[in-house]
Amino acid sequence: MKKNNVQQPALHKVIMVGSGGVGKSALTLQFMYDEFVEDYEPTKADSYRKKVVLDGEEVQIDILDTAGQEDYAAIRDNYFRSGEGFLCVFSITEDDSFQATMEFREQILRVKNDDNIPFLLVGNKGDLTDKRKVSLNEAQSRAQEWGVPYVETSAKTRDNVDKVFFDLMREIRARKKEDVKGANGRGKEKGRRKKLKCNLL
Amino acid sequence: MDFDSPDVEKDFPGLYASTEIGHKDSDGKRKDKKDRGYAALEGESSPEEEPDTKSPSKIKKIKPFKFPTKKEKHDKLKDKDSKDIQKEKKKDGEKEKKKDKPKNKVKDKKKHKGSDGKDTIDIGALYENQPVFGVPLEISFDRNPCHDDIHLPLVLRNCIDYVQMNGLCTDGVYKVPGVKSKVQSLKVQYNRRQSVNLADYDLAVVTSLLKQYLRELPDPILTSDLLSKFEDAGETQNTELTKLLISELPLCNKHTLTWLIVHFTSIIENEKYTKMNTTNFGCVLCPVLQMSQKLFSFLVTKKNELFPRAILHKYIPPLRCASPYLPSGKQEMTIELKKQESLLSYIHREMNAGFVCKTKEEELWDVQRIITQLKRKLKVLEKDNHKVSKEKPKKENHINGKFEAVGTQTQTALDRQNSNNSVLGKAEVVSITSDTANISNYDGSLVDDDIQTTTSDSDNEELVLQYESEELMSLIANLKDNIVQEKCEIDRLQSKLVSVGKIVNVREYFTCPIDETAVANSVLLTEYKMLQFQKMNILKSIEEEREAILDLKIQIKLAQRKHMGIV
Repeated sequence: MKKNNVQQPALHKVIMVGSGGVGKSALTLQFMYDEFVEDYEPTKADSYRKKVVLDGEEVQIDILDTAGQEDYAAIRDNYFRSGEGFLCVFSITEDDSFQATMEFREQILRVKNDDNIPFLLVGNKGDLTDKRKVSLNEAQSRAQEWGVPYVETSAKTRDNVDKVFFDLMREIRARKKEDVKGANGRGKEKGRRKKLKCNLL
Repeated sequence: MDFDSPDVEKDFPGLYASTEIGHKDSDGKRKDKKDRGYAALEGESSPEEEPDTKSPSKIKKIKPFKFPTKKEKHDKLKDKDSKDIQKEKKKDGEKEKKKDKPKNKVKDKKKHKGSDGKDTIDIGALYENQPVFGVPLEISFDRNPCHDDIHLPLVLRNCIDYVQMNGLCTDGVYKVPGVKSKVQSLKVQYNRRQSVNLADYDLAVVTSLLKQYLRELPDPILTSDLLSKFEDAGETQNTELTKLLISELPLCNKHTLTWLIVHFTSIIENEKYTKMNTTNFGCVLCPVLQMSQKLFSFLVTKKNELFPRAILHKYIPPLRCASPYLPSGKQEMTIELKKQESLLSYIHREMNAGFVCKTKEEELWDVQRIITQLKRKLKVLEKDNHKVSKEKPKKENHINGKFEAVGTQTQTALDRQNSNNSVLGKAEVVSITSDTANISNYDGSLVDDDIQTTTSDSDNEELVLQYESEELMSLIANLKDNIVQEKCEIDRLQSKLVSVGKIVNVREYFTCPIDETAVANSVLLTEYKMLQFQKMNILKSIEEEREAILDLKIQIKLAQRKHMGIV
C-alpha cells in the first residue's frame, strides 16, 4: 500500500532456514539484540525488523526466523515465497542437520524458481570445535557445488554473526540493482514473456 | 478449503467446462500445468508459480465465464498462439531460461511499484470467486472473521457496531432503505476483503447492507433443520425448548442470532426515538431473518432469558502497526496476541487458498513481527513479575496498570494518527477511525470489571476504589470528547491526504528530482523522529501528572468525608 518507495530506506527480506536446534533463533537474537539464549525453545515463526547501516547506506532488514521442524512445512511456502535472501543454517556438531540443508536448498529453489537467489550456507556452533562432526572441507565443497558462500558462525561468541547477515544483504542489494539494470531496454520482450506465462498457467 | 470448489462452480458454471476445452487441443504437458493453475485457485498453493504472474492469468480465465459465447473463441485462439510461442521458447533452451528469470522478477517488481492498483484489482476479482456475501454463514465467517472470540462475520459485526453507535435514536432505523449503489459498492468491498470504513456511509446504507447480507444467506440463521422446531417453540412460547434449540445451533449461527436479537432489542427498547416497536420491526426484518413474526417477537421479548449475559461489545480489530503502539498491560497483550494469531492463521488460510500478492505477503510479515514483539514483551513481563511479585501490594499495581492502559491507548491513537499523517494511505486511516471510536467502550467495560472484582475486600478500600472509579469515569468522558475531536481531525486529514495523494501520483511521472527530495525527506525524517521523541516524553509526563492528580483528588474526597463525619 505504501507508495513512497523513495522515502523509505531499502528493505531486505532475509529468511532463516535449517533443521531444528541448529541455532537459527540464536543467530537472529544475537544479531538483533546482542543476546544469547541458552535454553532451547522451538520456534514456530518469528519476524524481526532492524535498521542497519550497510556500507554507509541506511537500510532495513526484515528477518524471518522459521521453524526447523517439519510440522510447520505447510505454512513455510508462504514465507519462502516472500524472502529475498536465505541463510541456510546447520550445526557443525550434527551431521544430520548438514544433510538436511540439501532439502532446504531444494525447497527454496522450487518455491523461488530461481537458481541465483541470494543464499548463504552457514555452519553454526563454531565454538564447539571439540564436537565437530562436519568438516570444513565437506561444507565448503557443498557450498562450491551450489555456487554460494560458506561461513562458520558462533551465535554464542558472536563470531561472524554480523558478517553473515551483512554479506547476505549485500548479495540481495546487488541482485536488486542487477534486476533494475536488466529492466531497462528489455521492455518488449518482457511483455511477450508475460503473455506467454499467463496462458501457460 | 474443499468447500470452495462447488461454490466456484455454482457461480461460474463454465469454469471447468472451459478447462476441458483447453485440454482437447493440447498435449499432455500443458494439461498438467493448466490443472495446477486451477488447483491453486481452488485451495492448494502451487509453489512453482510466481505469485504475481499467477493473478493476471486467472483474470483471463475468469472473464470468459461471464461471456462464454464470444470470448471463449477468442480465448481459444489465444491459447493456441501462446502454445506456439511457448514451443518456440522451449527450443531456446536452458541459457535463455536463466537469463529470463531475473528479468521476470523485475517485471513483477515494476508492476508493484507502478501499478499497485492493478495488483489489488486482480486479487479483488479473484476474491469475488470466493465471496463473503451469499455463502453459508460459517464459510462467510471463515473468509471474513472477527479476530476475537465472537464467531460473527465481520460485515455483520461492523454493521451492528455502527448502528449501536449511530442508530439507536434514529427515527425509522432499518425501515428506511439506503442508496442501492452504495450498498452494492460496500458489498463488493467486503467481498474483495478490502478494509471498509462504514463511518463514511449513511445509517440507511449500513442497515440495508446488513439486511442484504442476511437476505443472501443460503440457509436461514436458525438452520433449515431446526427452523420448524424453533417455530413450534415460538408458537407455544416455550422458553426452555427454545434455549435448548439455541444451544444446538452451530457456533456461528448461535453467535449471529444472539447478536442480532440483542441488537434489535436495543432498537426496540428505544422505541421512543426509533419509532420501531416489535411489530413494526418484525415487519421489516422477519422476511430477511426467515422467521415468523410470532417467533421474532417471542425471541425479542424473552431476550433476557434466552440470551442471558449477552452483551454486545465493539469489535476492536488487531493492531496493524508494530513496536511503539503495542499495549503494555499483560492482559491487553494477551488479548492482542490472540487476535494477531487469529489474523495470522487467516492470512495463511487465504494464501493457501491462492490469494497471493505483494500486499498480502507484506501483511504476513507485519503480523508475524507484531506477534514476535508481543511474545517477547510478555516474556520480559513475566520475568519481571517473578522478581517483583511480592514487593508491591497487588491492588495498586492493578489499578496502575488499568490507568496505563487508558493512557497508552489514547496515546496510541494519537501516535497512529500522526504516523498516518506522514506515511500511510487511506485504508489505514479507516481502521484507525474505528479503533479510536472503540476505545471509549472498551475502557468503560474494563474499569467496570476491575472494580467489581475488587470491591468486596474492605470498606475503606471500597471507598477509595469508588472514588477512583468516579474519577476514571470522568476521565473516560474527557477522553471520549477528545476522541470525537480527533475523529474530526482525522476526517480533515483524510480529505487532505486524498488531495496530497493526487499530487504524489502526478509527481511519480516526473521521476528526476529524486535526490533533492531524498535529502529533504531525510531531514524531515530526523526532525519527525525528534518531535516524536519529545512527544513521547510529554505524553509520559502528562500521564504521570494525571495519575498524581487522580491520587490527590481521591485524597481530597476522603478528607472531605472524614471532615463531614467529624462535623
